[in-house]
Order: sequence, then structure tokens, then C-alpha cells
Amino acid sequence: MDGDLFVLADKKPRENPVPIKKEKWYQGKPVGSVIVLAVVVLGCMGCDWFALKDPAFMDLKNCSVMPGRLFWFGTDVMGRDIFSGIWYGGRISLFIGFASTVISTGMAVVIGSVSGMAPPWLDEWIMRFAEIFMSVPGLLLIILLQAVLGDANVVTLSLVIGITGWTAMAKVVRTEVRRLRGSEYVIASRCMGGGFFYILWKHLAPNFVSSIMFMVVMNIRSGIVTESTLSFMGIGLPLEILSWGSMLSLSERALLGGEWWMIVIPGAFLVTTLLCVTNIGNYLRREGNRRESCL
Amino acid sequence: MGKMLLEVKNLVYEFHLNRRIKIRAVDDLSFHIEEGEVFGLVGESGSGKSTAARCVMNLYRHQGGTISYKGISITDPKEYRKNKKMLCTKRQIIFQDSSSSLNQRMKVADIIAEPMAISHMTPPRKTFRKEAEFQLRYVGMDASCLDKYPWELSGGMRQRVAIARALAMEPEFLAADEPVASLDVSIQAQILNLFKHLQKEHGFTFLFIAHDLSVVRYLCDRAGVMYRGKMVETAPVRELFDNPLHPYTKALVSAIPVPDPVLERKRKLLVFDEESFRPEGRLQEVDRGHFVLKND
Amino acid sequence: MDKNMILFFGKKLVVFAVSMFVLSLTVFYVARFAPGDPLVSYYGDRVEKMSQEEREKAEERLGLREPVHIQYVKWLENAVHGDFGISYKYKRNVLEVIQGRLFNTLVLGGVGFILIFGLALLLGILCVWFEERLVDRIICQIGVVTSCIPEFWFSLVLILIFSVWLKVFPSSGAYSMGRSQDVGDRIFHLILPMTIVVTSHLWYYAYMIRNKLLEEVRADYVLLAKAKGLGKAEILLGHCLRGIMPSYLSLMAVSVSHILGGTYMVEMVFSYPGIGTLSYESARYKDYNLLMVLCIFSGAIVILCSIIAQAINERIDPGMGSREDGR
Repeated sequence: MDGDLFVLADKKPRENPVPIKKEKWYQGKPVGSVIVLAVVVLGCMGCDWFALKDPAFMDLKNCSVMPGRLFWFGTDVMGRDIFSGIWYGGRISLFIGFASTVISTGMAVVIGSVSGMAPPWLDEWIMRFAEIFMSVPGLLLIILLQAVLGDANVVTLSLVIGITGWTAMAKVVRTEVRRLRGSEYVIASRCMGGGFFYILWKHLAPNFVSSIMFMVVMNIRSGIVTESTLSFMGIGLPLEILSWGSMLSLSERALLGGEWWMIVIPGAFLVTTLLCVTNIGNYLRREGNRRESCL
Repeated sequence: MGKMLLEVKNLVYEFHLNRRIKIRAVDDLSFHIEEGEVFGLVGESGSGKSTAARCVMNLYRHQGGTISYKGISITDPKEYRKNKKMLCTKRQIIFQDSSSSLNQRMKVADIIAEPMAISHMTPPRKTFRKEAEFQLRYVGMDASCLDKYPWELSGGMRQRVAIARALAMEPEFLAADEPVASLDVSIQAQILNLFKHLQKEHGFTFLFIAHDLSVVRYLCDRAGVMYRGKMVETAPVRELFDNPLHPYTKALVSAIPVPDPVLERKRKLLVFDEESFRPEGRLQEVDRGHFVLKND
Repeated sequence: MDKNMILFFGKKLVVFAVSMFVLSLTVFYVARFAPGDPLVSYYGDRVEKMSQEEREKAEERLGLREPVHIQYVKWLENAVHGDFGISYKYKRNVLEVIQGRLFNTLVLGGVGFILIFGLALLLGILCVWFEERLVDRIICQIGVVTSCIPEFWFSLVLILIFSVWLKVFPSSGAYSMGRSQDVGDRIFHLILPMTIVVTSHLWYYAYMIRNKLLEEVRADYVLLAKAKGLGKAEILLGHCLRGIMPSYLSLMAVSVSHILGGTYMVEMVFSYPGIGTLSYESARYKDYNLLMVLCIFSGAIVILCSIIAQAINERIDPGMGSREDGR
């Protein structure tokens, strides 16, 4: 037809189309870590069914027995079965790791948001306070706090580890909130009458969650490590409460006798769990970064 | 002459870069807007128009002068708090950059319904979603966009969503901070027509900020020209373009491109000498409704 | 030094002093209110046999009867004059006790610090050089695994293997009996603890360097350099490395406290006579004076390093200061 400025060209089929590599759904995801972690967690939670021996029972006739048919992972210096100990103790270790992270994340989010939304002088003071908090080597602080709270149990230990772990995350939250606070949709929301908590919940939180996801997972990991370190030093859980750390605290004596199973086995479980958690954390961080750049 | 809705008197706002350096973004600004009129605020980048608009909307805390809305002195914290609900619902603002003025993680339906959610209002169409759908259709978009995220929409569509959000509360006063500056020209035309249509239908008072004079000529009833934080000239639009009095306004008007190539070639560009600008002086009424910044 | 610099350092000094004050106050109070008996560290087991009168007299001698805030003021007065009191356990001047051990920790920590950051740099460069190839992948995998191993467990395992089974390295102490001046012997004792200190932190920093370098290598100027004909080594080592140096330096400054904490742990497991074991003992056995000085010492180092890091940061990025916005 005359007068038509544009004529639609026919669509020609492409010769030699480039084959797209089909990615399986599990590519790039930390499937192995999730599975192993799931096994460990389920084992710990469901240990009542398959760990037949009472982990706290001190079978004094069978102290320091090597792994064998009777005691699959051997016994420790006090005669306790290590196999049951791993699963029951794992409950405690994992719980502390998780609970301390909940506490430290909650504190970090609240303090960081308040600091981010606050006028500059208040922000300065809160950050100074956080820095002073951070400046004492964590271990020392925990030793001090633990000494104050007296006899350790699971709750106090989670509390102590949580209280000492919020500073780094709070700084990140505060930086993100500061950055987001100038965003126009936050200003628009304020203009429409939105209050502090509304804006925090609806606008700020969904946007900084991805930044701190990685730190949250790493905090779980450091919570577990700190608990075992403290128990090992004798400042954590007492020997009566079984956890991977307290099992290892007796192991120093094992060195002399070369009784490797007391040291290696609980440690191996510890390392494996930590490895899985770390892998998941790294994956989350990579995912978080990727989504940011797409937007 | 209608009733005065917004009156700004001697507004001052300074940005503190650090303890010593201050920049006066808005310097002794005075203007008023009548009910139902479209007022255009023009000026180059850095003239202080966005800052003025934000002060008017109580987003910045002013440092001098008074602003009164419907007789209420909104610069007085007590009176502001007393009337906060009314002021927050009946006045809305539209920003320039639609991608940053909408929360990228919220769906369009939630974005439009947000002002109603904040004021705990039951929408006239029963649910938030239905209300959002109604507003969306009103600005000329399809209901299929309700579940989309802002990054899935084009610039023009995002700006329409921002307009829908502002209109959802049926405001009396709408401030728009360069709403079409970041869109391409054909979309600009669509949005401007939308504004014109909405303003006629709703009858809200409109503060329209732009740096493009031709847009102001198309849309506005009255206009004010700002330069370096000061209001240099205010007049009804026709008067302003036919008879600019201040040298800065003259330079601006002469710079408007003309669509006719023959006339365009003949157009002479007046250059404004910055050194000659005298910030002292008051706005004095030269003609009916026509104010110019002059020294005494 | 112009006025700005003086003002800057002046402000930092004030911050430092305030932080020290708050820190000392906190530690003082917390230590006093914690359960446990300081008399035990002084008198040992004899405490149990003491009568009430004797206890009171002993407490009076040590200045523990007075209200806490008076104790603090007294301590502060003495501290300003350089007198930090005596350690209950060692019955010597606190500063003397610390002096004896400080050197050991500095050796372990200092050499460890240098090794960590030197090796981290090397590993990071290797990873970027062979990016995404086998070498990079292997190093990353090993690194991730080693970072997950708790320090104390690693120490135990290494002691098990090398001291108990293979009987190659000594498992405790800084030097053999009577051979404190023998450098070779000292090094021998240092090998195991040093390995732990280095391997437990190495990967964390190597990973950071790797990531920073990877980002740097994606910058436009690298493309330009390549177009100009510069070789890979020259670009990487000559240009990119210099680009990340400032942030690396500030990272080093901030990590001092992290590594310090790690050294304490390792000292404990290896019974290495340094400040770490001293801190632990003083906390455990309520040796107040010693504890105070150690906490303040650690805190001072950390705050100092963070100030240095901030100074470096402000140097390289002047826009880091807080900006005002509308409200």
C-alpha cells in the first residue's frame, strides 16, 4: 500500500539457533549443605527415638572406651556414651546458636533503626556507644558478663552471646536506614502521615533485610562456635548440661592418653554443621547481591 | 479572585553543609495560591523551587517566615499537630523520579492504597484493592497492573501510579515537583493532558513545579519565576509570557523554542547578566496581579 | 599541621579518653558485682579456714570494704599516677606482672598479624590471577573449610597429632626450661600456636582481598590499561593492588581486636605464658587490679586502631562525614 511508512518485515526463522544450556534446578544452590544440615538437625530433635543410651549416665565401668560395638562413638572420661551425647548435646548447641542470633538480630535492628532515623547528635552517641562495646575483645566481655550472671545455663548463655553480637549488624542496619531514609517513597509516606514504626515495618525493613541476611546466618554460626569455646574454657555450660562444647571441655585430659575419639568426633560434627551453615550463608549473600543489581 | 488556599510569606530555608557553610535555598519567598487554580513555579536548577514545595508540604522545617494553609498556620508546630490528619490527607505530593518515589518492593495495588491504609480509612469502594483498581483506571491504566511491581512498569506508567496514589485520597491540594521532567516528550504530553483533565474534574488546587516554560504555559493559570531562592516575578500566565518585566524573566521567555522553523531562526536569545541581579528589593505590584522584584 | 588536623586529633583524643573512662568504670563495677571471692586469689585455700574477723581484716587490707564508687575513685587517683595496684595472685605490682608476659604475646600476635596479612594478600592475588580456575576453586574450598574450624578444636587436634602421636613439637609454653634466650627454641615452641592463629584468620582476610580485587579488576581503567598494552602482572600488581591498599589498611586496623581475641584463646590451650592466659586467670579468679589493667590495655589498643582506621578512611574518602538532610 502506498503511503505506508513502515512495512513489517517477515519474520525469518533463525538458522542454527544457539543452544541454551539447561540448568538443573539445584545448580548453584547449596543443596548438599541443606541436606546435611537437615540430617543433623532432625537427628538432634528426634534423638529420643534412636539414641538408646542415656547420655548423662556415667557408666564408670566403661570410662574412656574406644568406639566399638557397645558404644558406637566410644565413651568419655566420665563414662558417658558419646553417640547419645552428640545428638542430645547437639540440641543445646544448635538452640544456643539460634537463640543468641534471634536476640542479637532483634537488638541490632531496633538500635540500628533508631540510630538511623535519629537526629545526627543522637546517632553519633549511639554509634560511639556501639564502638565502645565493640572495642572490648568479645571473649573478655563474655567472661565478664557470664561472671555477673552467675551459673550458666542455656538461657543466660544465649542472652550473653546475643548481647555481645549486635554491634556489627547494628552498624549495617543504621547505614542502610540512613540511606533509605532519604528515598522519596519514605518521604512520601511521611508526607501522608506515616509514623515511625509504620515506615520501619513497611518500607525500611524489607529493604535492608537482604543486607543483613548474610550476617544473621553468620551469627548463628558464631553463636555455636562461641558456645563451644566458652564451654571448653569452663565458663560456658557446666559439665552436667551436655553440649558439643562441654563434651570437648573434658577432652584436654584426653590428650595425654591419646584418646582421639573424644576430641575428633564431637569436633567433626561441630565443623560439619558450621560448614553447612556457612555455605548457606554464602549462597544467601550471593543471592542478595544479585537481586540488588537487577533492580 | 477566589479564596486564598495557600499563603507563603517571607519563607526562608537554609541548607547547612557543615557548621560554617550555609546555603540559602529559599530567600524571603512570598506567594499565594487561590483555591482551584493551577500555579506554576518556574526556575532553573538550584533556584529553590523544590525546596519551597517541600517546605510547603511540611517536609522541611522552615527557618523563617510563615506558611498558612486554609488559614491554619502550618509553620506553627502546635497548630500543625492539631490539624495533622487533615493536612496529611488533603494535601498530597508527586515527585519527579517515579522509580525512587515508589517502593520497589511493593505491588502497585498496595502503593495506591497506602495513604488510605495509613489513615485507617475505609475506602469508598469497600476494599483497598477495589479502590486501587478504580484509581488506576481513572488515570488510564489497566487493572492488570495491580499486581505488578514498579520495576516492571515503564516511566510513564510509574508516574501514573504515583498520580493515582496522590489522588486516592481526593486531595484539595496537590503539589507536583517536576513530574514530567524525566519522561520522554510524547509521554509528557499524555501526562500533562491527564493533569489538565483531572484538575478540571476534581477541582483541586495545583502547585506545579517545572523548569520548562512551555509546559507551564500549557497547564497553569498563574505562574511565578524563581531565581536563586527569590521570587522574581509573579503574574497570570498570559501576562507573564506576553509582557515579562524582570530581566531574568525576559531572558527565560526569549529562550523558549518556537515550533515554526522560520520563526525559530529569527528568534533572538536574550542573555541574562548574573552580575546585574539585585537580590534586595520587594515584590511590588506593577499591574493587576502582576508582581515584580524591584528595588525601591 | 593545619588547624583542621589539630581539631581532628583533638576530637579523637577526647573520644579516646571518654571511652577509656567508660570502659574502666564498666569493668570495675561489673567485676565487683560478680559472684566469686577475690580473697581466694590472694590467700588461696586458706580463705575457707578464716574466721569472720580475719576475713574482714583481710578485706580491709585489700581495700575491699569501702563502697564501690569510693573504691573506683581511689583506683582512678592511683592510676593517674601510674600506680595500678598489685595483683592478688602474683603479689607483685600489676605492671611488673604484665611486663613479664607482654613480650610473649606481642611475639605471637605481632608475627601472626604480619603473617596473616602477608599471606592473605598473596592468596588473594593468586585467586584473582587464576580466577574461576582450579587453583582459585581449591583455595576457596580449603579456605571455607578452615574458617569453620574452631580455634580451640584445631589446637587440640594439632597437639594430638604433632605432640602426642608424632612427638615432634612441644605442646605448651614459650620456651623450654631455662632456655628463654634461645631464639631457635622459642621459634620451635611458637610453630604450633602460630599455625593456629594464622590459619584460623587467614581465610577471612584472603576472601576479603579476593573480593575487593575482583571488584577492582572490573573497573574501567583496567580495560584502558589492557588496551594500552600493559601485561596482566603489571596491571594487577602495579595498579589494582594500589587501589585497594587504603581499604586494606583500614581493614588491618580494625581487625586488631579480632586477632587479639584469637591469640588469647590459643595461648590458653597451649599454656603459652602471655597476656591471654593472664586475662583469663584474672577474670576467673577475680584478680581485680590485674583485670582492670588488662581490659583497659586491650580496649586502648582497639580504640586506637579504630581511630587510625577512621583517619585512613577519611583520608581516602572525604565524603564519609555525616550529611544533613531536611529534618
